[in-house]
Amino acid sequence: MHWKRVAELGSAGIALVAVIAACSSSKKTGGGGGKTTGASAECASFSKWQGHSGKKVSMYSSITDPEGASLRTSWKTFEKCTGITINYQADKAFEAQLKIKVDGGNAPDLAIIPQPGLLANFVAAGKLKPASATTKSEAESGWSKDWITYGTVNGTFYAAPMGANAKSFIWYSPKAFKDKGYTVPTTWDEMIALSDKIVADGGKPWCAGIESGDATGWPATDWMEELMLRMYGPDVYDQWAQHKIPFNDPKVLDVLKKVGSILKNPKYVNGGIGDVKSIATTAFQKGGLPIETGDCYLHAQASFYAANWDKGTTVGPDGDVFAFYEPPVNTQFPHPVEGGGEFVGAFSDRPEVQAVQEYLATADWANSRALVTKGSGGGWLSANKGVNPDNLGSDIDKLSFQLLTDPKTVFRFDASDTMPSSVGAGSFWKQMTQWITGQSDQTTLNNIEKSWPK
Amino acid sequence: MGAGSKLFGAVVAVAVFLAVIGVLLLLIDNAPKRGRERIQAFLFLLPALIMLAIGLVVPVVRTTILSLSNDAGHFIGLGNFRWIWQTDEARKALDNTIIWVAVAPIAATVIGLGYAVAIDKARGEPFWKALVFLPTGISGVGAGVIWSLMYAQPLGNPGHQRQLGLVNQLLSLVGLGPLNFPISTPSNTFLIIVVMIWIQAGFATVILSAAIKGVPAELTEAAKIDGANAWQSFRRVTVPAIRPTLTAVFVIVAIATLKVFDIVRTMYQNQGSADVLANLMFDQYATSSPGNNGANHSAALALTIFVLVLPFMAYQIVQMKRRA
Repeated sequence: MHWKRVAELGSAGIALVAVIAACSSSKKTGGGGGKTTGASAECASFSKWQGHSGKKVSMYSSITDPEGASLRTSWKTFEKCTGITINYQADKAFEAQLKIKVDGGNAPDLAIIPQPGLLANFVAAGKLKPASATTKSEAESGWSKDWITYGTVNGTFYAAPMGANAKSFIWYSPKAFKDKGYTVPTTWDEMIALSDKIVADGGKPWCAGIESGDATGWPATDWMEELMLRMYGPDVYDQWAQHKIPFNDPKVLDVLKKVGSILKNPKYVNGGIGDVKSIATTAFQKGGLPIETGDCYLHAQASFYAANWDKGTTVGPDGDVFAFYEPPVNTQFPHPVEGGGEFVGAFSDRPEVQAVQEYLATADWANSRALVTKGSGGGWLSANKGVNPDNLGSDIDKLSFQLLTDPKTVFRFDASDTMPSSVGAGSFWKQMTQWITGQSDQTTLNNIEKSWPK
Repeated sequence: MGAGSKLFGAVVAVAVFLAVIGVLLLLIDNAPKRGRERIQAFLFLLPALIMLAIGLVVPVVRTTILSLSNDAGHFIGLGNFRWIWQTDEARKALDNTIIWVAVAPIAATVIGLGYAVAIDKARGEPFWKALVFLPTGISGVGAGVIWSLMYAQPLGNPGHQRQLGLVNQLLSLVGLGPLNFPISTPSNTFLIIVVMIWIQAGFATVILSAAIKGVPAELTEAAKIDGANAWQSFRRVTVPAIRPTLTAVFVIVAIATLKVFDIVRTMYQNQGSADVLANLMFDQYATSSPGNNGANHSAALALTIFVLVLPFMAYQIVQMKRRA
């Protein structure tokens, strides 16, 4: 090649790059800024977060639309009054993708993390920034001490809880119960007596489904957690979740046996669906639906299951379906509640990021968020004491809120979400699925124990 | 701000890089040439070498180091490979991958060849070819979803069933029970392999059909005159003539099979041990937590796949050289 041509090519390339660079930099100065900050009464309560006009905060979460759209609506006024723009991005493969983003140096400013275990991983890796004192005090004034603990790692508070859900529910049909003369049980023994009665009447009392794509198995881990909390109480529950007792401890074996006495009892399951093994191939969203047709009477699932009933099914204390509090087993532990929720963690401590984190920890935001879904029948709740129950959209949301904020309640976070993800989002799910399809209690627990990080 | 300044930074970096390369090439080209061709050639190749080093060599070295250490960064020798060998879950994925390689490439090649011969010179050949080639255009994820629905288990009592896949419907017509996909082992592995064959057979058909058309008509005619029947002519003339293409198709499908991820990721739901190496590799990384060496296991699995692919690549290269 003649040198002239090389020179031409080279300079052409440089010119092209220069043009691209000019374009991108002009874009940069053209956007942002210039936004007027709203004034007036509406914005009075946002004054403490003002002064960051034109700044952008990126947020990453697993909450996709329509809930994601509700989220974005809930902070509209905040954006208008402070001039901060929240760039919200949601992804169903959040857990794996967040790790890739953070490892690759592209961490979002804020992440909505539904697992305290994952939160702790990022703290251990030195990636997460501690929450500001204001965020901490806002969270402490709204949420119970149990909840604050899950946003705290090694004594430092990192993330305030955002939304909450209550898991300790058994779904049933108030209509069917009335027709058959069944009553809502208030102790575990009553619930087993009811199950036997349904069997005697020729029915199958329980239905379940644990298929959930990559996350297949999680509903079965909830069963173990509920029973661990009810049989051995919160202290043993914590020891188990933190691996202070081995996963194949006799107590854990005891719990799994009790779960098996329902889930692997061919007389009890799988009402309206099939045999015991069909639990593994049934989508968790469909697991409770046979209640609608009277093929099944009891289905253990969280408050959020309300969204899965077929259209036209009324959810309420006198409706087609409703839920009752999963009754206690041991009188020593009268009122345990298992639940889940999300935490807002920050990978950056820029002032505008902290402002958003603070706002999302307030009861004001929680009420704003509740009001967004109130009109569409609910489906969102918080355990923030500052939430006005009237702002919640449905009976099941109100019942869950009442359960979560009851001072008698001993709350525990879903244990699998607090375990290291290789167990809590890995071997625990997989082994419980194997267990449903025939693996023994002892083998199942031994395998999970083997997989616990040393 | 964040993304904007990053983009700007990236653009500047590329501009600087191109400028340096441009000046370098200019200088080399202007330099006296006689007797220094080798140096000059090396300098001309340098930019490509640098890119290769950044994009290929560095990751390979990093992955190798990762695979030989634990997550605290200490050297632990072959510990992570021992983990693959000794953990039931990983062993199962290795065994399944071997089943995949033993079944899918041969099945896809044989079916593709059979189909290509069957439709050769038939009426509407392009149509028949398009029909079997279509699945090749579907992404693995799409194919996985389609086939998961085909295999779907019956849900609900007879009478008011909520869903029932086509395959189970057909089985029930002839009085056979449901597939129990994906929980029943080992049938789940084979049922997922079917999807891979479904995708790859079309690819094999199109390539092999073109090769068959390239066999000189004189050869087959001569065979006919010598009294060979159709099978003998196919076996002794066509197959030897298209052998290089057959090998290439087999090797390409085999390599795709070794790395299969999307179909398995979509269809296998942590159930009944139908895992394969590439899916386990992703899982180990995605669910790694401090202290469990997940990323290191993942790196070891990546190298294992690489080592398994090597013989196929070597075979292909030898074949290419023989032809040249």
